[in-house]
Amino acid sequence: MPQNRQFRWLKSLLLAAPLACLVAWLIVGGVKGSFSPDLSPSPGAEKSAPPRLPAASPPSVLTGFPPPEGDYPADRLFERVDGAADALIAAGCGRILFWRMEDPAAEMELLIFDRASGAAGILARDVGPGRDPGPGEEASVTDQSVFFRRGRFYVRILGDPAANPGRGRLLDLAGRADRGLPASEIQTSSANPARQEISP
Amino acid sequence: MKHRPDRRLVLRRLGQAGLVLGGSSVVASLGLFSRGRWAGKHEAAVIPRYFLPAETGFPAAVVARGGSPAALARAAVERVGGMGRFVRRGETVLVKPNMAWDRTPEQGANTHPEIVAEVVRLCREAGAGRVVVADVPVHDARRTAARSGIEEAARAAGAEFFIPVTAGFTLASLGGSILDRWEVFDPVLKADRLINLPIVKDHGLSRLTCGMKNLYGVLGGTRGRLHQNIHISIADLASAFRPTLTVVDATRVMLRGGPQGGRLEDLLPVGAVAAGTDMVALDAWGATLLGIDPKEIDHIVLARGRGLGTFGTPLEEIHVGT
Repeated sequence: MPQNRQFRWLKSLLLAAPLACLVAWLIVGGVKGSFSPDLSPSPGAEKSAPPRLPAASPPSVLTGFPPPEGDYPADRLFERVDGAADALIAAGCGRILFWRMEDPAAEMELLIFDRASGAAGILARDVGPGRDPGPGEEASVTDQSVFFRRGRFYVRILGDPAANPGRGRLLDLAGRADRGLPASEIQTSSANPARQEISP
Repeated sequence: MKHRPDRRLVLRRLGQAGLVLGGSSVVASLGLFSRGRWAGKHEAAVIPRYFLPAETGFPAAVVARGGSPAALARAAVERVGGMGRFVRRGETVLVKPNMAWDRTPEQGANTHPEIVAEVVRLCREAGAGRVVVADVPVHDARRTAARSGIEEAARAAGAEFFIPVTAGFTLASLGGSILDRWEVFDPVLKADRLINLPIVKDHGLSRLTCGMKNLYGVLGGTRGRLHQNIHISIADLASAFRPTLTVVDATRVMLRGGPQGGRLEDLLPVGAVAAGTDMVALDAWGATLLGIDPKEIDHIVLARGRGLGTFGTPLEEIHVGT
């Protein structure tokens, strides 16, 4: 008799287990939205669509700056630099942070690489061989842009041509960004960063 | 006396509940009540045939120089037969600029808004029923539409304007060797004619972005996935969306830092607009502006191999105002 009782409980458990799985599956599916979404916008979406922002605002990497407007890890670099993402990843870029500044009117990107040589290679690809006095270990400065690299950090600042903030103010901004980089993570390099880099 | 629930009854009820839940989940997973189920939404749409049979007596592609962007566009289109050759009365025309980047017109990352506006006017003059300007930007769509100057110019010229926040996507059959089925921007699928308005730029991966690469902008989904075989997927796109007409903005050409760009120093003022039906010839011409031999660009060679056009002969040049 006790054996039979035990068996009935076991049978109950076996019957209940698939049901529990089913309920769990339904709940998980409902939460994750596993069915194909309807891509067409809902009525009124045009008015209510929020600007595309990262899911969570991460703490700023740059001291003295607000949290970035955009934060793109390696698997989402294409959302910021579609077409250039593969070259960046190949060079060791694992993250891009993006700020839009109002004073001066400019946008700023901080590209974080796993090695200084990768950052140096992309800077060279972007601006060619010429270098100018400026922030960081190497810089390219024009009236409308300041691109500079310090260690494995590469900063691109583009002035808004419509507002024309000017070289001086862009350099001020670049200087602040340079000073705001986390000193402990910079991995400084010399004139030949490919030889002198410190492994991450 | 307190009634104690019978174990068999509990199990039976649990079983019944399971049947209901299971049945519901099966119905849901089959999508029997999903929106669009009965309209065939899950079947891949067919890409319209935009390309028109070639007419003799017109050059396949020409280059116009020596005028404003709008004047150059008008002159180039006139020389290849005029917009009336490509657009019939009452048709819906999709005008596809390169409007991917949050950049101003001076930065040369997007098609010049004056060229977009002039092509819209040409379509309207030809009697188009609807002229639709649409693109799927990489950067924030609303901001890109505004900062590029394209939305304002297009609307002022009489076009409707669509970006992904105002229109959706539909799975379509592209029939390519890599691009088989992909989400396509709805306004593109609803058009009778497609006029491609690329800009010539350096591209970090494909080396050149011009007419064929610009067609990426009709796709939704994770376009970055296509970059693994970028030249084949560009050729697939060119085959699937062969445009009625291509008008290339080379008023300024981005030599470095593309496709995003942003530095004015990276632009070369060329002061030209090319137009034609041979997008291979136009892409090849664009490559030469970047100092690249077209034979080195795989998607140009692939597209030529697929019979989408040819290159090797210099394009006819016309000078506006002379």
